[in-house]
Amino acid sequence: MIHLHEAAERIEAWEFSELASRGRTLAARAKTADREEGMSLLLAALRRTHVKEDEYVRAADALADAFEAMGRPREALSIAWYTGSARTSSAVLSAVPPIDRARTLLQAATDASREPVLRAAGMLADAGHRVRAALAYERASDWATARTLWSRLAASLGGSGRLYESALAHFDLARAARRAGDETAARTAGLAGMHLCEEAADRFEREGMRERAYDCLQVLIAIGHETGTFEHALEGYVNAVRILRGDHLRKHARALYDEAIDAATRAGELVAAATLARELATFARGEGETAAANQASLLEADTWIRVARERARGPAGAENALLAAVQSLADLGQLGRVGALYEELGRVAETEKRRAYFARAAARYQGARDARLALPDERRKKERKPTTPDVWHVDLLEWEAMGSASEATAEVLLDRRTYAEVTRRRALIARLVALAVETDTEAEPSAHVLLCEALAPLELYAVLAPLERLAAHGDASVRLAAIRALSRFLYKRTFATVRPALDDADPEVARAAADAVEKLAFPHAIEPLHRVVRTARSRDARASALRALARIEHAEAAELLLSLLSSGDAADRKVIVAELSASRGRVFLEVARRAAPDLDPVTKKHVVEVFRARSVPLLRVATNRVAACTLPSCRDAPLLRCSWTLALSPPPPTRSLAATAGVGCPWSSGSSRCLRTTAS
Amino acid sequence: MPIPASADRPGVASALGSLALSVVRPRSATTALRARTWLRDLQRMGIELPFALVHDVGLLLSTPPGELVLGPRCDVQALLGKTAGAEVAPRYRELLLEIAESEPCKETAAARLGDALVSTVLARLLGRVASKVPLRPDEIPELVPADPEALALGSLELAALWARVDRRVDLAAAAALVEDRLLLLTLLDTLDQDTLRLTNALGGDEAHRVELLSALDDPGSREVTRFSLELLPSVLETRARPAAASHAAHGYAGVGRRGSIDGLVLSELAWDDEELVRRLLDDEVLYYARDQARTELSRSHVLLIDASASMRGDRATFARALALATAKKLSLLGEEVALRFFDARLYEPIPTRGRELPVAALLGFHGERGRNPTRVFGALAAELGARRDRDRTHAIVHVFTHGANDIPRAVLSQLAAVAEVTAVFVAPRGEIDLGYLDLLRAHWTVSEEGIAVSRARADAARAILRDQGASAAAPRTT
Repeated sequence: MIHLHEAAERIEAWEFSELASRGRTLAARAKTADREEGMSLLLAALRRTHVKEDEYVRAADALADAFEAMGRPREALSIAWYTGSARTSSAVLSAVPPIDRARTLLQAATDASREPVLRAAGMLADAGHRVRAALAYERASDWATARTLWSRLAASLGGSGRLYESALAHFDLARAARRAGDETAARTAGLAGMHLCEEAADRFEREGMRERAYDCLQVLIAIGHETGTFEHALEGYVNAVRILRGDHLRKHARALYDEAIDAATRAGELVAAATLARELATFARGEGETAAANQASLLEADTWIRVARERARGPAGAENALLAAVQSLADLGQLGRVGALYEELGRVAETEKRRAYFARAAARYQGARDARLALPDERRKKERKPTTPDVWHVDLLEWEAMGSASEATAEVLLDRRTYAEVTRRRALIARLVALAVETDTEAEPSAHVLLCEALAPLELYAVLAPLERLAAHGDASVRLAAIRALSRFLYKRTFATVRPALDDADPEVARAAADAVEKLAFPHAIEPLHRVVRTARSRDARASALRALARIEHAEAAELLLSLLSSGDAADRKVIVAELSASRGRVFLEVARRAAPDLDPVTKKHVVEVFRARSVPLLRVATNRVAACTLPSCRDAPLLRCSWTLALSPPPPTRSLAATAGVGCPWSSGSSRCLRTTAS
Repeated sequence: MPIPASADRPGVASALGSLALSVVRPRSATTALRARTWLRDLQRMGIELPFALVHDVGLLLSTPPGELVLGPRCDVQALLGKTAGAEVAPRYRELLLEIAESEPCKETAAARLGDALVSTVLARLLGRVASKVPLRPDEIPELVPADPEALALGSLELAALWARVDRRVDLAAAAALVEDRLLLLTLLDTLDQDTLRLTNALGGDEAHRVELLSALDDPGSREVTRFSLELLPSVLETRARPAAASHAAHGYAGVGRRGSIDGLVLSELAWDDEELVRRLLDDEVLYYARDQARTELSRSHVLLIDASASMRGDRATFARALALATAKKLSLLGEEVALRFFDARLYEPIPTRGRELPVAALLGFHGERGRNPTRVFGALAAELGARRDRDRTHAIVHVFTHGANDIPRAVLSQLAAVAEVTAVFVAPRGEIDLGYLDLLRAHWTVSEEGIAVSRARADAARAILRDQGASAAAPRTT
């Protein structure tokens, strides 16, 4: 039997064309040894995923022919899924497992063709793939059968302790029952799904698996929309946004805020919409996104005005809503608009006394102008929401696949709309390796190692589950390969596998896990990295997490490092100082400058060390003050406290520096450039 | 008047000397001492400002105009001479006079707010100025001596203290205040007088300043307060009901099984000794019961308010205002009341102290961390069950939630086994269809129509309050 995973390293130097040409020639021969050699060459060629599509397809077709000739129809069919060739002869299809046959049918079926979809659904159901089968029945609009399958799945998951999967199954059952016309069953299942979902979200959050809690909340949003119960959708939106905010996924958080505000407005919940807009403004401002914050505040004001004009409960309600709008606009310096609202308040306020007051106060704003506001580019409107998958399907499919690499890669391979060519080519290679490994019950650990290596370049969330399974392998070499592969997967979920590996019995695996932690440096990893710092028993692991934190260019990471410099032990401080000293990032420097006056002496000493190592000035309070530097950018400074000096500069000037352009002025540092604009 | 010795410290000199800028003086010297507390509170909130600003604005907001003298304390212009920024002094004076003349300032002053509230209002009004002119550690004013005379120094002393430290920060802060004149006046206009009045009247809320600040900042709270104020007049008519008791006061009101020896029904003595002892041991002996101050089975009301995100908007307004009114009503009836919020967790009870209610906590509480009725109601059932076993407390749980809050029936059954449960559902969309309604002792539903119109909303709330009051008035003596 050919060992596909042993494609020779010796041919590394060959060109793709040479590999493909020799491979095609050899693979076409009748002699088994030649054919196997040819297949190895072709496989090696296909690993070169950056070649032209037509050349790649020709090589892939030749390999598929060889597989078919060798009686390996699954591999042949997999290549056909990539190339799109019509290798769906009855001979091949009849030889592959029902799941592959069904996939092929579903792939070929158009939206209008119900019969092949039903056939595929039947095959899947017979083969025990309940989730896939139910989804196929849904696609064919056979809601009654889909409902039966979801119902069985929900029943089988009940009491299994798998709250999340059970919640998803109940939600799917509710959807199917509603479409099948059974409203009572839909309601019962929907409520059960909701309870399970809420419990699962709560449990995930308590266990620090916020990304899984986020999935639950997506389901809650869907339940809200599905049942027309805005309360549930609102619950989902607000909490999902909270998680995104906590993970610094700014773009996603803003997009979800936008979606929530739209949903609230559509539901006529204007007060809820206004509070969401207000929160969005606060969040965006905190993240330094002034334009987005301004836009959100304007939206808030407009929504309150709508509340006053359309939904107010009497004059007092209108007055309250208008005052809320005034508050938002005043914060933005939109004093012209504030004046107009005062005039309106002068007409609608509750009492005569109040009306007279507002009418009088409106005079204050005569001639007041609206401040010019930075607003987001119009293109941001088109940016909108990054798509969220239907987790109630995707996650159940993942659960049903039980960590199978061949299943996970097949999904990627077949999804032309989502994935780029290169990604699908990598998925093809990984699937070919996975089929060889997973069908061989006696596969050596080395084969599993190769599978890890084949999965690694995919770096997709969709293939995390197989790697998680491989990371639990009994053989240390496989665990090692899985952890190394996972170090490329920049997802919070990755930590769920890497963190326990830090305590692996095999020291090499534990070291690899520590290395992986160091590579998992991305903004929403701050919380899991901090958890590693807090809980890891190994010093290497703590050091890796600290180094990763030092590489994250985010204010929260910088603040965390400052607090660790203050409270951590000497070894931690040493690691942090070393990493920050070698770093080229700017965020820590900015945060440290701002915090400098309040730092304790020990922390300050380490911070100064970092600044010194990077030859960057740390500004600190000086005892003297500059009366008025005459540099143009300092001209407005007499009342501002131009009283900083450089930590690394010679002793601070002791005389008044008025009228001497830049000389001795700490802002200009002796040059003609004023640093105040950057340092303040 | 001599300069206090503590003014040798630059921080104290900075604070006292800044009063040279001040244009507000209380007629009573002790009133000015309140500014000391405001400054300390603001500093605790991270808002650092020159003392004179805190003093002046604070006094305007806390003291009726008749008790203040407005005008400079010394010749500031002479003091400032040609100092850069000296031109700010007259503009500062004009602004303070404009604030003093404004309607919201007069209303706030008339309410005679407590120090905690004044500090919170100052934080809201002056927070922006503080962020514009950050003080260095050595510029932060220290607390002035707790001596009224120290705050009533003459112009000579003020001039001396003014000159002791660099005053650019004081001038910069005053300039920032003047620069933000329109914003400051607008913020003053948007200050929710109702919230301030309600908080001042019902509860000191010393412990809940953060919540109060958040409530003042949140336009949603304004509506809660307004609605509460609509409901409270009807609630305030509530009187603790008379009941039979064993205390030796007033006349006898009936016969009961608890009491002191002086109230023993004399015919009890007719029993032979053995039977009398048995009756005493079995609590069968009869006593004359007295009027007033009841002897009661311990009864506790838990007002459980949904703080999950699904309550946002009109639901939260109605629920919180009604909870506030209910708490007031029950406390006037002499009942033990605790407010509790829940989302995915059950928060600690916020007790009411006598007739004081934690208004700020109720307005400013922010939960919205998920939703998990199984956990929350399960935990409450366990807690109340344990309490009942411990001290025989009879609990009544009033839930304020929305009409789609589907609590699992099994969980609510557990709660209903240890407490009476009532619920108010705010259901803006249609009828409620919940599987546990029969387990509730009573429930009320407020529909969209019910909350869409001001009068209907208040009527609905008053009806609920009436019913709740009636059930709370049910006899509970032994």
